[in-house]
Amino acid sequence: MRYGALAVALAGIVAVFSWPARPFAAQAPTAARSGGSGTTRTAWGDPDLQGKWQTVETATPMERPKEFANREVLTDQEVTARVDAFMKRNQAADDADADIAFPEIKKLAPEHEKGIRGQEYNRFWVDAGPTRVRRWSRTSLVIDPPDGRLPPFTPEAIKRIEAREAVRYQRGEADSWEDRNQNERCLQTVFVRVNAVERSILQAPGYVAINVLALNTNEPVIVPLDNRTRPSAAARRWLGVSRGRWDGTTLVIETTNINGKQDGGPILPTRTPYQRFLGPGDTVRITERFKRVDAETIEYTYTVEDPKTYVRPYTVMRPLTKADDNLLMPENACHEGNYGIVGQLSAARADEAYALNASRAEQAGRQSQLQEMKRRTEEWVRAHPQQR
Amino acid sequence: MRARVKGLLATLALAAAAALFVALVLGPTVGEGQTSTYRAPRLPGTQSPNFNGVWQAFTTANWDLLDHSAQPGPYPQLVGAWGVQPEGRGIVEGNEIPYKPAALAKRKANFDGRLKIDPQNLHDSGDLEAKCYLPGVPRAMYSPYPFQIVQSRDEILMAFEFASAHRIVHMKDHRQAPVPSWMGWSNGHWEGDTLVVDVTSQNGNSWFDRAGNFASETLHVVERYTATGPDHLLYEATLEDPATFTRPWRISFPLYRRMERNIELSEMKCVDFVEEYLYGTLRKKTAR
Amino acid sequence: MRVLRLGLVLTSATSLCLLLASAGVSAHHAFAAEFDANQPITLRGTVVKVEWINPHSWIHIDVKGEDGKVDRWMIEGGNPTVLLRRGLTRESLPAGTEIVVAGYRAKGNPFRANGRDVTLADGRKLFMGSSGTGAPVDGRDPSEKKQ
Repeated sequence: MRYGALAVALAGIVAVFSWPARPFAAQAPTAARSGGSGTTRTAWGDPDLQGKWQTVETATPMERPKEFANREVLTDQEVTARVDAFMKRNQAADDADADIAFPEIKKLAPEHEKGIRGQEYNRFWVDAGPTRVRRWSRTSLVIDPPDGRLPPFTPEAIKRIEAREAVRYQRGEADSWEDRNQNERCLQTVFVRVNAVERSILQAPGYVAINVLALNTNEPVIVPLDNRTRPSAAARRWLGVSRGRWDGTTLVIETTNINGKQDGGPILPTRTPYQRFLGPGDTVRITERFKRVDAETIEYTYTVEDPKTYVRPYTVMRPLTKADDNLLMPENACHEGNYGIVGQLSAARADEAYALNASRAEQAGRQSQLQEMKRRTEEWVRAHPQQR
Repeated sequence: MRARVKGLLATLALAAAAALFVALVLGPTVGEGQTSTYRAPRLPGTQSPNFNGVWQAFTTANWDLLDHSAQPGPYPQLVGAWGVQPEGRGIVEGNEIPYKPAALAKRKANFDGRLKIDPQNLHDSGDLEAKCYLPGVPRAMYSPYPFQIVQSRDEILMAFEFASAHRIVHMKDHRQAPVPSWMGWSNGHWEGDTLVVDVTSQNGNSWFDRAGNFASETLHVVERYTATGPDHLLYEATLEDPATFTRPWRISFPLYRRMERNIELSEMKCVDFVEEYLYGTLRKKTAR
Repeated sequence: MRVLRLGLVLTSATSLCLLLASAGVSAHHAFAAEFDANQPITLRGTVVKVEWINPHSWIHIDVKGEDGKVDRWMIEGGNPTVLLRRGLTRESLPAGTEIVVAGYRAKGNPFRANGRDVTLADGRKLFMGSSGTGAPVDGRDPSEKKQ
């Protein structure tokens, strides 16, 4: 998805705060290769990852831009250029009323949205405060395959996508709630889980509980650490069944038993990016790794493997940073407050009614003429009985 | 002297035996307002009892908090005996909810409209469970699905299977909720081995059961969780809301530990099961 | 594997932008599916209640028409996580506050609108800087880690 373009509409005053990144080549001796740095232990001996963790904004694209080919890291200058470009896209007018900082978005808006695109919500509604971008030298969030790009879909997946697009083609954008995407229906998928914006981690003997916070989600995922068996594929979930273990001081969570509704039901919803496509779900395995590299940082990765969807697995890295323990994590009652979907369906029905009424109004205009024509026909029929 | 000591010892022994008899035979009585003498194992690293585990209530309160008869469920001509409401004893002390007169009228209106849906006014009518809404407190505690307690020293997570609802009981950061929410704001502390939780800032939309019992946004719930054995907690709650009730009232019931090996919460995300129920009238007539 | 170091961070406000960015599919793109850009509207009403729900908050207001009839309107606001992290509370927009809403009508419901601008009856801007009520705590990000 257009990461940068979307961020434009959202950021407020933007500033860069960064320390010079420790040079990639010169790792300090305390680099956490053994995972020991900053990792304390709970009272029962498990590595302690508890606290509130935020996914860091690094201005790094998901897939490696073609100009960086096989390079995993950028030079310091290239990082600066990338951060500057990100900041420029997010720079807003100081006057919050001006709302004129979206020429690109307006240019690309469909005709019926041209008048307002980018001005639907005044800045105070969406201003999340200053954006601090951390310098990070990777060329992409995808770290495997080595080319930094998502692997190709399998032929089977392409067929499935094309069949779903064919269904999509026959439908309006809001014929039913099934035409709206998972966000708009307040449904959680595994992608929401692995792309969590914030996590609150709680531990108890034998368990790690991760409260996942994303746009329409704030809910706990409780992971047992005792390697217990999983249910068969007959029991599957939106967020899958998770089993955790410690690999040294790294928490490894493997999730399977994922349902086949991740990219919508029988109907392909509108605005569902291809990156969200997963097959029927029964062969999906997602592996998350939480590796604490110091007191303030977790190197988080997730690996997606599904032989029915991708020709090979892929891995994404998103660093996490420790947030204040007092960080407010508000309740997320998305479904309870889903006036939006009612609004979208009602709007579509209103549009259809408008079009129907316009047609009928035009038709009504002809009725008196039709009555006159009928009268003349009946007159002729009465006058010519033998010629009927 | 020796005889007196012997006598004293004998008396002490008798007293000890009597005490032991009382403790073992009469046992820690579980009931309203009784204190348990069971001492749960401690949560490692703390002096508090360890409530970690998967728990579930087995009452019929989710149907109706008060005593009730068996009833056919909704639409028996479609589903037969599925959904039958079982008979049950209530969980309310004194079997009475002390509504003010206006509130009693609203309770009846709730009941009459418990399966009524107006998509343009989704919060005005209808039982929340049927809508797959977050159940609020205390209904989540006696919802007919298990919940899991993940207890650490500073925060206690209660994760409910139904609708993936959850509560965080703040043991350390006792701030006020900035805004109301469906599951409210829970601040907890220990009184001896009893966990006492103060719940405020619910949004007034929640019902206590399918029968339409309810309170307003000024509902204040004080819960008490006490271990009465290794696999049982006693749950007690006092509810007060001067806008709805003439006085505080209490509920209590046991919570049973789910003993299955490898027990874990299943997923009960019912949102896509109720979309037709909620939005069906807004779908395009000719579409799927 | 090689550990790529991050530059140290000062605050944790960044993640909210990720939250809203990831919401892009449902936020701005869905606007036209619900509201009509060709039907701007201005309403003056009294706050009845605010629903702090996701992804949009909703303000319920009573609007008195010229004929004296009072209509209940619902106004779509911004993301509550953003607002709450900026320090807004239920006191920021209490019941009884008179507000003026400028936005766009919903297509499918005659008493709903998007609230692009919300100001107090005396013209002060709501939620914006120290001139408005419910202003975010100036100079401090509530999610900022204490140094």
